[in-house]
Amino acid sequence: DTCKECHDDIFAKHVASLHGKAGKDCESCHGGSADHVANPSKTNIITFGKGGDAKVQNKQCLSCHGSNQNLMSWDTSLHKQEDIACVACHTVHNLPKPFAQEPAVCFGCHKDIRSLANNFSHHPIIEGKVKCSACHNPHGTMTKAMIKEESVNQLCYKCHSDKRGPFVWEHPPVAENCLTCHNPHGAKSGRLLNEKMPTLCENCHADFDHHSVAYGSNMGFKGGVNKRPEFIGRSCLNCHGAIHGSSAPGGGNGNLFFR
Amino acid sequence: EEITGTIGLGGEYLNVRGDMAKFNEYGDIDSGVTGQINLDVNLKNYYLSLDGKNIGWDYNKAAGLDNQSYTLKGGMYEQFKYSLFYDETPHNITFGAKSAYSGIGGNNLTNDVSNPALPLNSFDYRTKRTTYGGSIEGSFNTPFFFGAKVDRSEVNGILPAGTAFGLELPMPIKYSTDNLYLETGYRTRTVIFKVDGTLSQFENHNGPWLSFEQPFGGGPTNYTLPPDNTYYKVGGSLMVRLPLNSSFVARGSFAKLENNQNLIETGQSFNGDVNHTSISAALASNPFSPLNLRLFYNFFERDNSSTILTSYGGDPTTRYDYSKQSTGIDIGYRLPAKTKADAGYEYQSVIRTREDGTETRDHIVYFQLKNSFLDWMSGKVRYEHLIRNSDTASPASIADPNDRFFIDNFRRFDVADKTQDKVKVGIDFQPLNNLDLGVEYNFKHNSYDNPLRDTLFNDIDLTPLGNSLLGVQSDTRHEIYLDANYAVSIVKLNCYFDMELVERKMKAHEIEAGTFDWSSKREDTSYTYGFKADVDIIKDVLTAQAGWRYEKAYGSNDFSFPAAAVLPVPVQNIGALDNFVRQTLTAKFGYHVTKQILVDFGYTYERLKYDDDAWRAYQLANPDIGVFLTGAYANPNYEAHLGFLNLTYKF
Repeated sequence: DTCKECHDDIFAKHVASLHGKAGKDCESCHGGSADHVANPSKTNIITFGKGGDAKVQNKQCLSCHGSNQNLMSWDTSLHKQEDIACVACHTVHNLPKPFAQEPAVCFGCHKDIRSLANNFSHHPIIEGKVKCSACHNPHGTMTKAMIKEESVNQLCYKCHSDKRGPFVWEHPPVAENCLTCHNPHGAKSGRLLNEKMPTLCENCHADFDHHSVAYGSNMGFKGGVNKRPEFIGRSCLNCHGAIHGSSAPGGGNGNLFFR
Repeated sequence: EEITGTIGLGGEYLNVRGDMAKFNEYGDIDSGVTGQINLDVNLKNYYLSLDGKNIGWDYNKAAGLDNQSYTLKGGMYEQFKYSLFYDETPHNITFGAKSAYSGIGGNNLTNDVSNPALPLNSFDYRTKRTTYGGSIEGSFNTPFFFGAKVDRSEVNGILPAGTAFGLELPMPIKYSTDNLYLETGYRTRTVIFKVDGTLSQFENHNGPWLSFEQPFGGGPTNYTLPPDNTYYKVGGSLMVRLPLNSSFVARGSFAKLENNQNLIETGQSFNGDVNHTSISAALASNPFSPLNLRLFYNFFERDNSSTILTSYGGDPTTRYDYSKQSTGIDIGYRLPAKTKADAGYEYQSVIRTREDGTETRDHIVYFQLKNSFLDWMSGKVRYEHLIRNSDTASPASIADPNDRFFIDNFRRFDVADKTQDKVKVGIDFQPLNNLDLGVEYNFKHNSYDNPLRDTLFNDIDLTPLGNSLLGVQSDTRHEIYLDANYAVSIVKLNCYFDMELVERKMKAHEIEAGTFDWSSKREDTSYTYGFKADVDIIKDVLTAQAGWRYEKAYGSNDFSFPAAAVLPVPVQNIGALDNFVRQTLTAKFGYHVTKQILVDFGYTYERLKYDDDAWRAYQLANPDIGVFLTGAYANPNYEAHLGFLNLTYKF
């Protein structure tokens, strides 16, 4: 009630918030208030938000949430290393629930990802069907980019379980890392591909046969006798549709991902 | 005790000229009725919330919306919580695709599509993913906790699949994946320990094969569909908070992926068995105030123990394994004037069963400076450098002359020797109390021609190739992001500009039209700008929002050939490479009739124009080159007008 006398608007929001409903009072987060009451100043109470010391702010949050198993990698996380304050993502007073507003809060810092997620081809992130936290744990994991599995492929296969195989014929870069060909946030080229075919494939297959041919614009649908199946439409995928793996017999079939 | 929530009901009118599938790629916006519900119940210790989105009726399809979503969450504070969820996500690719096949949607496609007299059947390339399940977590205010989640994901629809001679097949999709996740452990402020387990079972309800008729009287044959599989994983994690402001975290996991396939064409059987093992540990310490340290180690192994078939269709099968280890250190030090300096080093080694990249070794160093001394400005600059050295199998051990040539002359970019430089600069300004400006520039350059390759790092004696190495030579990326936010009185404004430029150079070895090396330079440029404005015309009564967004992307690929090269057909440069322009205009008004009743209405315009040399003048039948397509991904252009009106009641 002492705080309410000066901060009635914030007090009203706090009471309606999840923290308020869970029985937390002002001092739970802002620390002892006696000095501040005697001499109202921002310097004698723990304040949150821009300009504050993230380390001091986060210590307050972790005094309750530090034993949460989902935060067990926080101390070794990249966000901790970058001095990101909990309140940079979690709005404690102004929203009834302090959950981070994805993807907007993530895009605030990760502008390159914001751009990719709006690109011609993208995962349904901006449509609200895939959250950043579906793949990443912003509180830290043991893996790079704080992904929620031990490898990129194990993460992708959680939704794309049809790509798991095991296949009789494997395409090694596919089996090792989906990111060799795809950008999961978005891409200018279709199907989240880092680059358009055939050049995407020619980046690796540039040694001989039809996959080291220079396919020019005169080899398209209007190309007449110059038209090439390797170039038109879906390009390499016109024939090599089973590029993620095949169980068809070899002899120029499954081993070349034709079927 | 408190019950709050909102109920919304509205209507939409949509007019689309062009590709409805691309406009609605992950959505179901159409003329019809829409609604949403949100309910929060708070009792003394118990809470419950219900969210329902995209509840509605599509007038044109005469069906419910395809992107509905419902979540029910509840629990007792610090005791337990649970959730039930249901979500639909469509992925629309192409509506009105055409094929002469009969039986589309099933696993037996009949008819010879090379017969021009056959009528074309129309169908849609689209899938719909439906996920539903529930979870429960609890600790009952003790240090012990448990969690369980079970869900099922079903995917149904048709996707395109290309097969030999450019035949595009409508591949039936009817997948289900059942997942169970369990975890339990012990947690305090100083120690957290948990064990977890996952069981995931994938089933393809169309069976392992799609039978299809080959064109030109080739008779029936089969296309492999994704095989059923079962995936198990167990893991354990430990976190200990140590003296000197230190924390130690470790995790280990083992996963097994397996299946059994009966290979119908040869009668052989295949047992898939792929194992993944991981071990990770990290120590973070803040022993005295200005210093932060982090040490880490990661090990990951993919071990493929699947059946090796000594002859399957005449060829022996192979298995792909790799193991990856990385270790490193990060050091951060706080300097005066609110400056922080960070530096780090990481070493990563990957060993693979790939002749062209048996081992790669990465050395990564970075330096970073951050400063927020001025109240109105903060900035960050970071530089990162990577050196990758790779080994190949010994050329002498390779019998096939093509493979030998490959190993001698070529490095695939994912395992090639390379150097990489990355620079990131970001500055945020607040020159006025109500004005925020942000500027960010990113640079990345990969060079795959490492002159030290043979002299310093390779274990084997390769022929010195200098600049003649084939494959990707280099790629360079520049990114610029600008943001401005201004709030004055009743108006909030936001404008932004994003730009990306990518250049990639490569070299290839042509033997089809003669024997020579050619090179190409691909350039991709994308930029987006836009603004948003929010105006409280009458505070708490009437609001207005408006936005404009313009996206443009274009690309090219220019070829160079040696003067002596004799080309049977001149190769023209590619001038349209995934070019597109998308423009979006939105306008919305919100009127609070009372504190409880909000009416909002608005209009959205969106236009997409796509152009690419490989898609221009698209043709389904190309019997001159034996290619029979169905229209997948062709012609994504659209122009859409959407009007909407919603009534929301808050209680």
